[in-house]
Amino acid sequence: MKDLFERVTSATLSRRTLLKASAAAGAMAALSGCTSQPGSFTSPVVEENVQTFRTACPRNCYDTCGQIATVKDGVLRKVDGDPLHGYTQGRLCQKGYTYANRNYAPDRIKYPMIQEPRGSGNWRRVSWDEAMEIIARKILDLKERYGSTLPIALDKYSGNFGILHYGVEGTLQSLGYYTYALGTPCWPAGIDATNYDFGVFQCDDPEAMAKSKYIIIWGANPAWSAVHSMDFIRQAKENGAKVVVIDPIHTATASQADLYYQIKTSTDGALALGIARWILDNDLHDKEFLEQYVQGWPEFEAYLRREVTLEWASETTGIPVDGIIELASGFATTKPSLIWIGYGMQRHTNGGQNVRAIDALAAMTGQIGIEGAGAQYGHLVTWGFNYHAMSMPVPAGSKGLPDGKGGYSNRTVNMNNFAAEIQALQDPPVKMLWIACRNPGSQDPDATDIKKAFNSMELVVVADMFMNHSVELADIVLPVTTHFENWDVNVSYWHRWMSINEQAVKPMFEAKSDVAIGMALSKKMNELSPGSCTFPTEGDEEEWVGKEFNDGIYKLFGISDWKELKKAPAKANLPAAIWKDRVFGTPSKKFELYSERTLANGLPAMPVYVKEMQAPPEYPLRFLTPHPQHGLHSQFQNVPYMMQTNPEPLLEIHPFLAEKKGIKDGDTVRVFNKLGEVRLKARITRVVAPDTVVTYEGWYANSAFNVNHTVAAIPADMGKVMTGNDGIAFHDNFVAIERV
Amino acid sequence: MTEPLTTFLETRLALWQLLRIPYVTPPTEDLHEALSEAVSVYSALTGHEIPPLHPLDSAGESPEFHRLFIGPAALVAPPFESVYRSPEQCLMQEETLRVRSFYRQHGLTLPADLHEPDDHLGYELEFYTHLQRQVIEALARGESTQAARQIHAQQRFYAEHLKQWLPAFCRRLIDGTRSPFYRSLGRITRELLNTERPVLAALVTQIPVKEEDAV
Repeated sequence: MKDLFERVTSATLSRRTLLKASAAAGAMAALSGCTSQPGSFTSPVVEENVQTFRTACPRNCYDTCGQIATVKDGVLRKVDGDPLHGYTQGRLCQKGYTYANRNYAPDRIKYPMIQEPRGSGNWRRVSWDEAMEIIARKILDLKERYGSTLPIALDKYSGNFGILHYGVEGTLQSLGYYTYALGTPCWPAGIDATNYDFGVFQCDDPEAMAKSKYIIIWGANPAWSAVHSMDFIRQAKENGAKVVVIDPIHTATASQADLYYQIKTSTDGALALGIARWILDNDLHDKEFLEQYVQGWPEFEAYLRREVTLEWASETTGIPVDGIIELASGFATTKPSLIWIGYGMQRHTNGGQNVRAIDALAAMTGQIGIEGAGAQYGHLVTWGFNYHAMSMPVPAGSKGLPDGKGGYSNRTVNMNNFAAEIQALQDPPVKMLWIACRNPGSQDPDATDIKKAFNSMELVVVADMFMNHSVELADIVLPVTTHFENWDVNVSYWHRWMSINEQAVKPMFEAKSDVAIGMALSKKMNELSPGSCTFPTEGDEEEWVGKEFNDGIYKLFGISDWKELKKAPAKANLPAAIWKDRVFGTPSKKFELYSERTLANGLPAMPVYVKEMQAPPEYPLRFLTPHPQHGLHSQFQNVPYMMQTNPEPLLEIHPFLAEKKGIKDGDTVRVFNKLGEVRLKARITRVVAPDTVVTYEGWYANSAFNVNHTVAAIPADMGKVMTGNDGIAFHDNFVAIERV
Repeated sequence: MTEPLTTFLETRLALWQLLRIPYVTPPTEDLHEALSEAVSVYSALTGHEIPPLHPLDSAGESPEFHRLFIGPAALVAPPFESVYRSPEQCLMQEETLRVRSFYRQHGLTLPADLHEPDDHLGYELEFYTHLQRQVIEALARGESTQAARQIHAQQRFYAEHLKQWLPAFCRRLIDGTRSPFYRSLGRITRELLNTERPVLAALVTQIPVKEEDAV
């Protein structure tokens, strides 16, 4: 380098290039002078600006944690549990502890982008204005061609359960009458069952589990998917309670139980009925309770005596008679006794019916309306917000589906058969999809058909944080905020706490909240066609939180101003045992073992056994795809921490089955049926039964893995009444396997 | 000040200015032409073998540019310092704040409404070329001490930031790109980075701090 400057005469840049370089210096340049910090070599800028914010985990989870977000220099540094939240008690789960990392994941979606053509992987960044213009013009075009906005379909659900996120529905409504996915894939059969039996969808305070002496966790795995609940179960155990787990998989929860029953999948009703028969035979039923508070006991008793034997129950469930007796005697003689009915066990063609059979055990033993007792499933009693963000009027003159009363309404499709239904709709057909808080590309049944449905659209818009299987199928992706970047308020479908979600940091890159996206779209719509959208074009999201509150919510939570939530989460003032007066919400005001309403809906009047779905001969194995440990549906598993801990999905196979199929641990296995296939690495383990294989649903970073290629959209038996559509029998999924 | 020195500094500045562009926006033929020339002239000037720039794909480099640096999928070569240096391998880490602080010490900041990490390669190169321009301007004003300080700032920024992560970034770019153009850009960036230490050392000897200004 000695002669560095001597070479200059022989080689020089052309004037043209120098000019270009000088022009290049201005391109995409952003740094500008700041007068507050004049140039200095010696005084580094030190900002010690630490703030904390109350946030709430908005994911589809029992625990819905209260959180404390610590922000320094405008950067989210760590996320802790809120110690003032009575259910989650200052702790998070392993997913929650990845939040600061997830917020700043380098692979978050940063800008609005367009994929040309759809599915090609050929993306380009566009401005928000350009993205909104393309979307708005397509909406106006469809409205012009079809005379309404019904060709636009929304699929939005549980990716963020914050109340302000119902602004997504509000956005679509503000354009006119539209088509939307109605229902819930998660838990509808059990909701209807609970509603048929008790008359209202509610449950006891789960904190009361600590007071129970006998807890049956039936088809739930809280050690993985509701970790804070384990603390109340632990308290109960320390007070001498016995804990029983009933599950087709020997789960992490089962490993902490006193007793574990590996039941044949979907035969839960038969086990409950066997227990009921033993209780009846041993005269341990609560005759006074049955007499006063239950409708249909004589009929149910007759059914038990006529149709149910322990031998039949044993044969059906795969549980030895002795085991059933031990369970029945423990449950019937130890009080208070409680059953936690999980959501996994109702994802069957007989799922709702099985939940009713389990509810019957609580009724038979009078274990209802007592703290630490009951059959607990879930509730929505703390969700009575205004849904201001959702309740937007349609623009004047909008047309939709005639409602028969001279007006119009939105059009629905079954969320649980979304792909087929949006393709089948006519007059008008569905031409545009808006996907938010949802990843059907990964989570819906029949993944192949989902792809086909997306590909039949004229425009697919997906709002998301990460490039998942749904974004892959989009024309336009819109970057959305994390819950640290927007305002919200959150409640649970399990515990009774409410948490404010304060905005802790500014959105990264160009992310916008769903409400802000609605505002941006409205602005563009009204610019192109004044009056075509009623969504506000601006507004303060913190104020929008306030607009969700009403006197009912205030009274329920014992607060007079929502801003009080900034000081601490609040708990609903309800009796711990919700049915303590034993006045039920059913037509008879009693717990209904015999239900006229089920009968009217084409279902058995009583929780008689409805045979579980049988494996067809060519696909003899049941393929269970329950909730994972390292993610929540398609969220979290893609985070680097999770990818390091759990780098790839595995297929759990019992050693007997593996031997029969010549499969060794680590072999690649093809899991298939007529719908499709999944290829997975084998893990030989006795946690599953020999007639069942298991993998856990989710979305892995940079992976095509999707458990739903073999899952047909088979409806569960219940769900219509309370959620609009029946559930999905996700776990009635039958396959064959072979070593690849 | 000698004319060759100024010419050298201008060439170096032009090269870094042009080099920044394909990391912040898809390159055009025009840019390609200028950057190619700058690479070959600078190569001749320094006597340091810098690999040539590969022609642009006839279909344009936009899809690859977005795949590498923008998204929406996981980035092939995330252009952020903290991703390579922080234990969390994330954005907005300590490294990002140190870069922000460095800019501020030099009177520069990103606009408040731009919620992007300060340690994006585009901003770091913008800052680095800003320091280079300061040297040229100071020399033109005859303020050699000021020029030397700006050289020193470049040495610090190079040692504390650029050199700390760009080799790893270039490795990911070279290994991960499907584009011969971007592969060559990664190699050029890596080689250019190697030339900086001796170049800066040489510049220090050429632009001494005047004794009366020495602290």
